[in-house]
Amino acid sequence: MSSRIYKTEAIVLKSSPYGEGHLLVTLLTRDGSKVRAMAWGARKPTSRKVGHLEPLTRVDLALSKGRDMDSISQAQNLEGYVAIKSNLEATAMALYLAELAEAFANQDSPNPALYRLFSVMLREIQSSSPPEVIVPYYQLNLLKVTGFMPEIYRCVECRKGVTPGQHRFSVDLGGLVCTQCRPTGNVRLAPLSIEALRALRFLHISEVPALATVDMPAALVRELRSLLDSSLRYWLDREVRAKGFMDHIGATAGLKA
Amino acid sequence: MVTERSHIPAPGPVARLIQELNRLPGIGPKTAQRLAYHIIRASSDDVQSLADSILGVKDRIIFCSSCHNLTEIDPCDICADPRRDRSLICVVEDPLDVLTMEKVGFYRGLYHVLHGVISPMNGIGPEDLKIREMLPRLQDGTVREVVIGVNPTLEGDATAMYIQRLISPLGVRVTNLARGLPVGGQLEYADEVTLTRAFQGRREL
Repeated sequence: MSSRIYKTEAIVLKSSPYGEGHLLVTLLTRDGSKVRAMAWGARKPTSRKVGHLEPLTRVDLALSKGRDMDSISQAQNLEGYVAIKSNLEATAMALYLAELAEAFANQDSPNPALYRLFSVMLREIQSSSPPEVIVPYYQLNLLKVTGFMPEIYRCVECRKGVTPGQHRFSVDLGGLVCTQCRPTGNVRLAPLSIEALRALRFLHISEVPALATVDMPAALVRELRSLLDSSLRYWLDREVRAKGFMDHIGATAGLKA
Repeated sequence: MVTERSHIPAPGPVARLIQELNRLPGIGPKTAQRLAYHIIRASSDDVQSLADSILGVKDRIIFCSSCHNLTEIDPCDICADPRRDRSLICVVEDPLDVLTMEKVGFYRGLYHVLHGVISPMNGIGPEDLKIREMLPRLQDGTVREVVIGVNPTLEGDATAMYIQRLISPLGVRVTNLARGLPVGGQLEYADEVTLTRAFQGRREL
């Protein structure tokens, strides 16, 4: 008979008050699964779990399996991301990333690459001067690791390689459409600058440390963000709620200043 | 062979009462049913009293135009009290926090109730709270210090940083309630953020 207790490392994506002093926590576990678990009594000031289950905290957990929901029996903070939590722009950006991770993570299908991507991004935002390109990098790579990567090399219609400049982008079709193809139906086609296409290809193959040396013009970052926002909206079928606050405080612009 | 259990619905008014109770926070369908059947069994006087008190809250309770706390008269008792220190405003999340602070009785300044905190993942931004409503209170130079007394959570801290950024240019001192180890807590179980803040906020004995 398998044990009802299991241990895992996880990052807390979200926590909401529940009843008298309890906390309902959404976790991204190390294997990339989304787990919702109850932390009984965790909102009481003297609880051993208080503080360890705040959103944007990497924790070592002991959980016990329940019929409807697991419960957190022990929580030990591994990384509190204090620098993120002490900076308004960094907090807003990290919460946006967390909402996306929560939206794309699945309860039943583990995705270790998603956990790796999210934890690396938090470490990057935690650094003193995260580059502006962090958000589009995360958006694109989130789509990549969850299987929704837009096609940025070939035409989605004729499958031939696309020459930069002879292309348009379709969110509905999921990638580039060459100028020779005429998709049928109610398909939106939007222009995509050559610089933005090159930037997407760069972000697709880049490792995170390389981003520190990238200095993209603000207009290019905006174009990438706009395209990737549309793709995320298409797949989620809703707006990302935390985007409003991140944009409101000018998160990406403010970090560079 | 498995047969489906027949489902006899509650009579119309009972079903409606259950449905309404079920909309209250923290009340699930089973609790709503229990409450509804408790109300049915209660005396007519008790039910009338409950209905009157619910309607009374909606008819008579308003928000104080100054601090946005719940009150029967505007301005509220605290804002109208001449003995309160008018140079201090404590910013809290909701009216229950005012009650908690008043029960302790240590603080003698005024309040400002935000009615929530910034919660980006739930789509709650600064414009959904009573943050901007605080600015007119800081214009005439009476207020020297704004004490941010929101809960020490990630969202509470984000709200505190936002308010600090908004009102610092007005030359008003902005402080935060101390963060650190709880009375009765144990160091061994403190998390990284709490310990860091406890060190940052240490005081000479």
